[in-house]
Amino acid sequence: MSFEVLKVQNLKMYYYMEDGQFVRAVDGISFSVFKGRTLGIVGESGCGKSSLAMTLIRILPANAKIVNGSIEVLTDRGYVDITKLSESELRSRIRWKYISIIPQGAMNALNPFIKIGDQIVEAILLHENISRREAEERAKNLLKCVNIDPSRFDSYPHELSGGQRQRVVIAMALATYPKVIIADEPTTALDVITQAQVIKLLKDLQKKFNFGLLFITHDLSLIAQVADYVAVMYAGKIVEYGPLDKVYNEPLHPYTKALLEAIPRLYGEKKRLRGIPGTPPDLRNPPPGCRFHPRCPYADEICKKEEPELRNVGEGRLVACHLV
Amino acid sequence: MPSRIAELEKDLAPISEEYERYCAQDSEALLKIVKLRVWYPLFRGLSFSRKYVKALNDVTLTIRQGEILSLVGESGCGKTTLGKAIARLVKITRGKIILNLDGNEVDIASLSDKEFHRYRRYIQVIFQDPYESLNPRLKVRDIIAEPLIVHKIVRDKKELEKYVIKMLEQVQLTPPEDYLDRYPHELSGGQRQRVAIARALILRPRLVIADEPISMLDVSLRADILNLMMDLKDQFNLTYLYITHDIATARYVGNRICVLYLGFIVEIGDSDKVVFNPSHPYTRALIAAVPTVDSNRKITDIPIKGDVPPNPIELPEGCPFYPRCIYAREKCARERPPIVKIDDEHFVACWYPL
Amino acid sequence: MTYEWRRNIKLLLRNSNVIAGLVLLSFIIALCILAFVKYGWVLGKWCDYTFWETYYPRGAAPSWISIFTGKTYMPYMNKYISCNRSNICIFTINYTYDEPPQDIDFIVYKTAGLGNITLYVVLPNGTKIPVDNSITTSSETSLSIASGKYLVEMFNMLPGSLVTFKLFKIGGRGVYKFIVVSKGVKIIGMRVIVKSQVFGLLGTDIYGRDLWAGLVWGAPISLMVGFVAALVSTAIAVILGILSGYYGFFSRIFNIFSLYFISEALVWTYDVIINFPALILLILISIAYGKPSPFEVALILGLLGWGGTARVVHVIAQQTAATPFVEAERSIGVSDLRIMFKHVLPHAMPYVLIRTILSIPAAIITEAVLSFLGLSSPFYPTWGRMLEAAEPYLQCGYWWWWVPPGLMLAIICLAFVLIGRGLEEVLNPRLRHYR
Repeated sequence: MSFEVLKVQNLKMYYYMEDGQFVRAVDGISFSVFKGRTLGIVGESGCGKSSLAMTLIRILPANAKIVNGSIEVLTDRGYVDITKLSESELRSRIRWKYISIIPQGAMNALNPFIKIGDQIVEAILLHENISRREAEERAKNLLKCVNIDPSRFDSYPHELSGGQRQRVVIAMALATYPKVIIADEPTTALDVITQAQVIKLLKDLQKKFNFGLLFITHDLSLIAQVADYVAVMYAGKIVEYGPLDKVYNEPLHPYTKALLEAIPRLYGEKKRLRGIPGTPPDLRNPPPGCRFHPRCPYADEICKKEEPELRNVGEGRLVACHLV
Repeated sequence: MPSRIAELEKDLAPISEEYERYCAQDSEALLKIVKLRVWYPLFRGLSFSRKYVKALNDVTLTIRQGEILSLVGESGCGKTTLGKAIARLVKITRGKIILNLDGNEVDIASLSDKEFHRYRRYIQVIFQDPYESLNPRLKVRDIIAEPLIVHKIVRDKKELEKYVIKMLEQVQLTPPEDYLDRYPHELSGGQRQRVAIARALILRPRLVIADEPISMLDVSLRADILNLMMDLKDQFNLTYLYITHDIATARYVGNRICVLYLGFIVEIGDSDKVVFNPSHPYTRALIAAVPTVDSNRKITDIPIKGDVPPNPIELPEGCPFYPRCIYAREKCARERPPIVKIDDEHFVACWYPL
Repeated sequence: MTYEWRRNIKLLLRNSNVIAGLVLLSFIIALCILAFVKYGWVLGKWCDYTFWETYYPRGAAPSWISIFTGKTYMPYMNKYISCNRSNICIFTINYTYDEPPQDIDFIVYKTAGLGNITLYVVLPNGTKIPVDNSITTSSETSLSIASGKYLVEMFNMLPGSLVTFKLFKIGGRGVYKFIVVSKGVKIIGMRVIVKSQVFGLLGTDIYGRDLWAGLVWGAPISLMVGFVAALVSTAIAVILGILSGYYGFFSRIFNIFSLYFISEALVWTYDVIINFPALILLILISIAYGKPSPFEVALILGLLGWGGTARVVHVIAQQTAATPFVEAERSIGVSDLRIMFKHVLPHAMPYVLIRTILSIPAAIITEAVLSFLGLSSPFYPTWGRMLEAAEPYLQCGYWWWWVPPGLMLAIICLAFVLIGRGLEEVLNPRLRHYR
């Protein structure tokens, strides 16, 4: 049994709007990421998953505030709740050392004017007190690890393909051997084949470096390839959580069930797919009771009044639904 | 100079006789694409450089009346270009596109813009980005009515409104009156795509080119849009050219699948045959790379070499897939393989099909 | 132009820059209205120096200067007294002021024939002094205190306002009677013009021109220059820019080399025109062909000022041409022209509008510079012209000759710059939040 490298409890992050209303982007999320294991967070647009990623590493716009909860990261000195740290402490001691991120659109986030090798070196030197030569050595090793020829150390981002750029970003995230990496839609802009190669690379690297991976995406099939555990997010909350096989083969929450019925399978018979009617709720005024009830085919009276708790239903699974 | 002309004249994509017959004989053919070539010249400043981006290379293909043909491939393979070429939104370098309207055959590639205008109503496009393909300054009623106005089918405002309302009902935007006066930014992604579908179908076209219509929508919305498109196809007797990079959707939606690589057809045939029995190494790699929900099937090594994306400016001599093919042999580097028959309704362009 | 303009206008009207700018602008517009309503007659007479010299004091200060100096000044007067064809005409005035006028002119209208007209003044203490005399056959003649022959001789001074001052100093306060006597002819009437030291709201300039009237007229003329130049240059810029941008984009897609070449050539032209020195050209034109009127100046500025905006429109047109919805419209079969002007143009309008508004003060200043150099038509009372007239006398203390026009130029430029900035604030970040 491996131990937790990231422990999130009851995390709430709201955006405060000009007109006084607030958007409950992350509304009471709890989960753990284990060493050497991958937790997949899956949800559609507007469910708050990107906000969650940004909250975890605390890169938030001015009008966003962590209202409640804790984010505990395993460091050399035990668990540190990073919600309680100041920005400078966070930057110097925690970020990138113990927890790093591969943000959305990362391959475009590379500085086009700086060589890729230097960008990795910069990431290392910002957080570790080693000589430049050592940092360059490590950078070249990292490039090798992500299947880029170290001789390309002096290339500029535009000289690389999309897949290669993404791998450079992965190398940067690995640069200081963090305990946990957050990957926010790391493959969205990539072709299918390149995506598969990047995913395989991530899994291989995880076996090698034993980091915990938090993989955030809207693509359910992708999660199935990557994650050991999956958490389904809807409207700022987790509605189902469990080991991958169990959740995908026996989905309990109506939303999970509906999502699985909405994607076409490559093999198997051609069933008519079914979408989910309605639209995701406005997080400024979420519906009362269970947030999914307006779109749920099984909604009952209680669903409209009371918000279901995320309960343990055995086998390491959690569901937030009255009807389970 | 002569060698340049020879290069330009040469047939880039050889096809076997069987394939030629397969395409030509099709009595149900709505659209026959014959050796379609789309090359974009690269401009450097004010000079006319001689390099081209070779997006489509002498593609030959038939689209049958009433079918859904899925066009599959990764970015840069030419699938979007093929769709745009048929709709004449890009310049066709060479080749024929023969449209068959109730027995009358017209080569729309050879028409001038003016002449083609009257055929536009038979070929309509649904674009990928529901946020960008609708004019943000027009109301929904104007967006849907515009095709009718441009083709002078209806002039009277009241009649226009009736048509628009009927179309809104058919794409399940009800009550229609609620949507008439809204602007695109007031609609959700799924609603916008429905408006785009309404706009494409209001002229009752014969062929609808759908260019990744659901890739920018949320998962839960995709099924409904796909189902809508299928239902409308039956209702209006449409034919679809469905362009996508997602082979799972391609199989779900399409009767036939056509796989493109670097502007060449590498495999084409009945959907199930192509998915369950991929004969081209590229198709095989593509299918191996697709993530599935079936957790027994994990992605292992993809049967492909290297990661450098193909360069559409300099085409390799022989098979276009040669640089990345793990089964490649000497012949593949020198000669381009023709499209040959593997099975009924299954054709491949490979010297050593799997 | 749809929903977004209504929302925009509401936002605009709440923007502090726009409000400030509009306040200034409304002041300018008030001046324009005043010009047309009350001072319409000035426009034709601005160059008629004789007119001004006859009826108005020269170099008079603004009336309200008395607030600062604490002294009272005898006010301007222009009065016609009918004399009923008699030999005598009397003008009485009660002089209770600290400061006398520069002069009092008496324009006497007489019957035909040779007449000997004499002007006497009766001081408050009863002393009667001969002032001036004129022997003439013309139907009107002018007598004055400052150049009155007898007074000049008596005081042993040069003719000028000092003579008048001395007279009133000697006389002190009280009732003065000015008597005009004619011999040989009859007096029909006379016009008494008190050429005071102060006049009106802004005094008069070296020629006696009412500076308030001139200032007021500067407003509509400047506005006209600004708007004509802006409109002409915008119209050219928009048309050329949209055509070059849109067709430039499509020439690449459809490899039509000739179109591509034309669009590139146009872009090159824009860069050339941007750098074209409009002011120098105006100076040359003025020297070679004569001094242009404000309208002509405006036209020339308009014909030379479209480069920058054309470039901007070109870029926007290209970007818009590349969008999927333009592609969608082409797939429906909408004609290029319709797309360009119904869809591309509205996209460009916010940027164009800001540039247009900001180009107005530039045009106004250029015209002012040209006028200041003396190279624009002198028939029009523009602020630059007023500055030009004041320029030789800057050290002489006649501040009301150059401070008001300079201030007005600053105000009108500030007005448009503020509005432009406000527009930019409203339109630019909003464009970012487009969805």
